[in-house]
Amino acid sequence: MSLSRILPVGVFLILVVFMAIGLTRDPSVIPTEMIDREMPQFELPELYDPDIAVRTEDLVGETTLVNVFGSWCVACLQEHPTLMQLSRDRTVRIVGVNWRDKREDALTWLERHGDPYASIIFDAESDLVIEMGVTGAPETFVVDPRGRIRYKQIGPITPDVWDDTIRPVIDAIAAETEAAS
Amino acid sequence: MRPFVLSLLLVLASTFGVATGQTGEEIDARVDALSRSLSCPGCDGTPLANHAFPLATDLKTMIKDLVEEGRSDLEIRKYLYDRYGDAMTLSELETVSDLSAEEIKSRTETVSKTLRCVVCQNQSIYDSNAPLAEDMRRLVQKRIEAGDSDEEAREYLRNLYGDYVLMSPPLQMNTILLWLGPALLVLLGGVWFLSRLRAVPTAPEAALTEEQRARVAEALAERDRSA
Amino acid sequence: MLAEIGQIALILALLISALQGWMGLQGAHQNDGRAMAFADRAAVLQAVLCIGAFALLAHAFMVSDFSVKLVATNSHTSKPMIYKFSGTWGNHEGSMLLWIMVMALFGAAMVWFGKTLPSGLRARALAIQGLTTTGFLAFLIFTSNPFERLSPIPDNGNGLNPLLQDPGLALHPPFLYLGYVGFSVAFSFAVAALIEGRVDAMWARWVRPWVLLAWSFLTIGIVLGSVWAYYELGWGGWWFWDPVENVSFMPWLAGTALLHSTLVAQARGSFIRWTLLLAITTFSLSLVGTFIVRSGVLTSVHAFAVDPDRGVFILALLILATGGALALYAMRSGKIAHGAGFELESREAGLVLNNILLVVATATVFLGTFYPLVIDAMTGDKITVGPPYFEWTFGPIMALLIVFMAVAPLIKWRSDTWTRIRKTLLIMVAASVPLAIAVAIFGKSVFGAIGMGLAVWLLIGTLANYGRKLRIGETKSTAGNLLKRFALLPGATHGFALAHLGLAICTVGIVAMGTWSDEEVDRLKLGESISVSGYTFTLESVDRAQGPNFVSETGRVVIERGDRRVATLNPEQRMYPVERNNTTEGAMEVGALRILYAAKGEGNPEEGWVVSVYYHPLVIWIWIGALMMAFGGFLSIADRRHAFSRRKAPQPSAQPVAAE
Repeated sequence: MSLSRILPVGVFLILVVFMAIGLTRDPSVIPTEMIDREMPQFELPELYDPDIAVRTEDLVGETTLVNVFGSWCVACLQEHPTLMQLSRDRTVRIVGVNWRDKREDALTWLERHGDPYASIIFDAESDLVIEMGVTGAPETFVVDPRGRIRYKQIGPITPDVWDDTIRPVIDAIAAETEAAS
Repeated sequence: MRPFVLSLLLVLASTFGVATGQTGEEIDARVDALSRSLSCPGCDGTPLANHAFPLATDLKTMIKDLVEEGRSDLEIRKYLYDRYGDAMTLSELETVSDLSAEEIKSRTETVSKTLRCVVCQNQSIYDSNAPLAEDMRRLVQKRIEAGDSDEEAREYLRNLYGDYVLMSPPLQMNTILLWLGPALLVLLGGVWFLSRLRAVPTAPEAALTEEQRARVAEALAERDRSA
Repeated sequence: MLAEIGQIALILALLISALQGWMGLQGAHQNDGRAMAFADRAAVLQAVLCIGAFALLAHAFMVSDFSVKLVATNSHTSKPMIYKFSGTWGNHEGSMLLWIMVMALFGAAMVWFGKTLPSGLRARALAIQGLTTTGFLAFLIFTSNPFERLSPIPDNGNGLNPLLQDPGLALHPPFLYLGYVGFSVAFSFAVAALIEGRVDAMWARWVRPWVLLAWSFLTIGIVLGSVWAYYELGWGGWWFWDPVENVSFMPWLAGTALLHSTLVAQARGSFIRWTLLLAITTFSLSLVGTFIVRSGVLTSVHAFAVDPDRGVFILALLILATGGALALYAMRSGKIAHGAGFELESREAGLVLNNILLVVATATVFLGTFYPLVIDAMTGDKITVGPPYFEWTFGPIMALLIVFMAVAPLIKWRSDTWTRIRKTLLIMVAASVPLAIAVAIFGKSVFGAIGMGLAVWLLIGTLANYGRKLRIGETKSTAGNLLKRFALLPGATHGFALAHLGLAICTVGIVAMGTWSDEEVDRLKLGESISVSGYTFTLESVDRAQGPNFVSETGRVVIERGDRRVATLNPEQRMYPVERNNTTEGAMEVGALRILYAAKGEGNPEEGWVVSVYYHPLVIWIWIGALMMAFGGFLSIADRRHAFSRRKAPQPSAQPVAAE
């Protein structure tokens, strides 16, 4: 009989534990399915020159940051200085995916804020972006020289994010590659 | 230190070809998949896998060697692309779908309603006006035009976005409680209801149990105390 | 200056409500009449202070006082006055203040309407009400101060989310909170009863009108939200099983169970413990709802700007209030009489089934809403629990509920025989089964057939019961006779009939929408058209215009059926430059039997505009039915058997209440 009296408070306490854990999590961040998969096949125009095609194969051979951005994306502006710095220091190759943008808008945006990208894939209709399981911008994929996605950063790359999460991934890839050669 | 050791092991393994941990079957499967997705130079854009003349066979052997070396699919593509350029790119399969436009539209609609728009959080891609949802709808349509069944089209997106993209959670290990919970509760409620029924004597004057007697006494005492 | 006065009023209210809690509990414990009288006065004073604070905040919004940060971030001078006012609660801080004001008002109402209550019970209930308000006031003052100043003072504000600039949504939160918070009264009474360790049928009579009041308001609040989502979000749906909708629905379901269990408690003096538990649960679910909406643990289309710190605070409040109440229940409920059991052929059995099914339904919605959070917490997997889940689980439970709810009111309290109601049951079967078969044949839908069959089953069952109460056919039934009997029936009987008929009508609407609604989306150039269910929608023109604080693009869509012109719709898309936001203002032609709806999306003359058109059969029946339920609730409050009025309440009798 006493069980039926304690049961409600017991159930409630369990729920409280879950709600407390829930507080520490961000429900809008969806874990990626892409880790350790190869970059999806694509062939899309370059932003600057639509006649040039960028293909998946072009990413192979060098560790690359594939950065999804758009001139409409406010948070992209936040990470832009970090990307510019990386580009100036020639730390890593950065390939942009200009997502759902108008060509002129993107070009103006790059002119104003600088262009850190080795090349820019113009993905106006999310063809590549969906194949990479992207949910928003900015998102950044670390792709190893073999063309495999090793890490995905959701949200802007701040200097902290760079130092704490992305740099170690790139270092690990470098160590592997070095060992291989 | 650890990544270094790990990668060293990996590389050591890969220099021994088959020792990359790939079985013969796996290698064959990869070679097969690759030669299906590549054209042979000068074959009018038909898959390499369909051909057996000397150049095609040589290319297949080359692919097999590369696979055995432990190269990734992409590295192999790059290798071939560097040598043959676009000649080996397989132009997108032109599927002559026998579906009518109406059928495609209604099936796209059906599938879209079961997929969640990942940027708007609580809408299906059918309901959402978000640009990404629109593009995902187009992808669904493309898959259906390419001959996918509804289930295959759904799976295609699930493969990219995970279970999250399915509006209705699939019945699997981590959702068993979710799907069976309500039925269990109804059952439990039913059992409780019946037990309460039987516990009741038909005549209201029926004798009290020992426990009830004690409670009555307690209640009376309580009343006296507070009075 | 005014903002500071508001701030001081809130702080005073906090102190007074804490004192109200302390004095109420102590006074009741020591039977100290003066302390208990203090609690009475504190409740009223607190309400006055909260109204004052709210009025000052509303004033700041209406005069666009941008030195108040909340006004600057949520308002704009170009907004129409009515939305400046409703903008007061269109944000987290202001809506929380509204919540608190409503809670304090209910506290004061407990004093006004509780004159005939035993003084101990009233003092304790007021104390609990005061303590709960204290918690929320502390939450407001320490984490979400609405009167915070801003310096330098901006020239203009950031505006209000355009989606919220709408009459439906302006009214939605006040009603919702009257419901949510209204359940706090039942909660306070339940905890007070547990402290006293004594509950009887009389207690249930005290509580029931409050439950009815809260439930009716909540029903209206949910209807307003549904109507708003229907025409404003433009997805052509009236319910989306969105987490925020679900958390308003859970207290409603639990409240419905509570409503019916108080019936058993007041009539038979049984199921008291269960009723106490439900009273605690119902208000706790309101608190859980607040937690969900304001902490951001679940994503939703209409969550407030989220802040985990606030989540922590509300969780702490939840632990104190609900955890405390349930712990008290674990310790004290043993003292409360267990009540008699029941027979299968009795009204009690029916009401118990009602309670079981409603509680299972609540639990199902809870499970579906929280499951993603639980799975994420345990394994890190992210899953979606969308509408299909609820349709497959909640739907059948509701169907079962309708089966029983048509029959149970026909059965007498205590003990009855099937033979007595056999004739009525046969009529119900004779009406609903052929109808279901007809629907299956002509409507080509099994779901539609079952649903319509159930609706008619409920309709006939309820009418038959009402007819019995009016003794139609039993004695001479002249018009005057019937009118007299009608007037003599207790309010609860009219309320019951109206609410149950309301559900039948609501069911008809839901089933029709689920089965026969039709929609079509296409890109239309000028002059092109789409058809749904025999209606042809033609896009004739698109014009741009300047609104007070937006730019709009309005389409002219002509609807024809055959050669007959049915209506001309002007769906609009608005661009709010200040808020940098677009809204879709769908346009509709509302009829009793269907709504024709058109929404226009982006586009241009060359490629055409995306136009969505909908045919929604009987959709307004859903809301009309739900409103009938709400008014049924209000009617029941007026029942003379309730202890709500200041008139001397009848003594609880051991006999089943007559007139049933």
